[in-house]
Amino acid sequence: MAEDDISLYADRALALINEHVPFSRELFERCLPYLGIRRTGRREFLLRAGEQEEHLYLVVDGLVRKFAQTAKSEKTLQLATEGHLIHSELSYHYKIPSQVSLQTLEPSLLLFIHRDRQEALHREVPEMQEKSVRLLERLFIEKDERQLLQLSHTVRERFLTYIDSHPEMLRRVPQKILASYLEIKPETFSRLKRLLRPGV
Amino acid sequence: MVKALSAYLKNFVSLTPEEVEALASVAEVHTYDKKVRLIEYGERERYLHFIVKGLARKYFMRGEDEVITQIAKEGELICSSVSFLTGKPSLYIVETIEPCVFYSFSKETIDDLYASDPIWQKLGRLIMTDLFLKKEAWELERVLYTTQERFVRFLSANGDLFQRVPQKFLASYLNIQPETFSRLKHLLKSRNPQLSAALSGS
Repeated sequence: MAEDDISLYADRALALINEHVPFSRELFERCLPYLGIRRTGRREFLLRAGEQEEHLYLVVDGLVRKFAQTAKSEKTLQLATEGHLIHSELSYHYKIPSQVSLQTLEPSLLLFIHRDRQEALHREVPEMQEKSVRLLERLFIEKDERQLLQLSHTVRERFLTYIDSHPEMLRRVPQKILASYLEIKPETFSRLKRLLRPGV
Repeated sequence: MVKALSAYLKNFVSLTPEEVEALASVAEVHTYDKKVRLIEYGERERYLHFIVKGLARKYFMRGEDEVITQIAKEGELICSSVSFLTGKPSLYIVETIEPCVFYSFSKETIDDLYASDPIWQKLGRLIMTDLFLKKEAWELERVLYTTQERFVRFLSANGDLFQRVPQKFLASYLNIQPETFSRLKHLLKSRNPQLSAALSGS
């Protein structure tokens, strides 16, 4: 892992954060001293189950997955690409050992904030209270929409809805992981993929 | 009534009695009978409800089946949250289980509070964090634990709800088939004396 100068990526990071919540350049620059940037390789663990999460990451480049190991299998819970936020939420907030692991699937560039620095940011830059509410609202909405997609749709609908809005993920994510994320059996996933071939 | 609200808020920030009063005074007090729908599928959610008394549930329809995603009691919040936050039509239905008394906050009321004092922004952030984490915990519960583990974990944490909530609602909330739910109940009654007290009334 390498540390980089964060100011080199400030423009790109600001553009990505702006997709969630509008930030002025001036406000974002006041936040910069609280943030860090980290470059990772492929298949690198940011966090292993049992450890305590101390960081909240914004994916600037690359792909990070969150997964849980159960007695029977590995369940992928989140696939975070450019602009997405990812962390082990319960561990980060409650300071308890994480039940999930975070691992990069591609070489990645990550902007992050440490838990203690986030507390300092809320104290020292009061405007961030409101930004954080808005950001949390967005994350809450996304989580709700994913849960509803997962629970209310048939396997086929789930597959088509997801691939329609994230076509690049078929290329970027190993099929086994994507199938787990969509809660589709690997055999069914292969069968559904054939539906996508043009002319079929 | 204010006491219940005050106790809830203490989990997040320390407020003066005047501040709690101020918050209660901008809420609308709503009283409902049991089995009343507060919002239908496709409507826009106008309120965030704080439950002073009673029990309510939130669900969506999967075909003919209700899928319950929340059961809320005194001292908890309930609403069709995404519709409330986005203003979009609700994909959920919220309905009382028991007669209820709510403090209900409209979106405008909350936005006015945010604009009036930073303390409300801080409170909003902490409550939003709490709701977000509850959703994460619910998702992990579903993924990490077996049917029997989910049943026991819920019963240990919410023994009181077993007396108050119809069994089919609990089964739906825990994503357990009704027959499996009955079987687990009888199994645990005979094998686990600590839990049998909570089970015997349901």
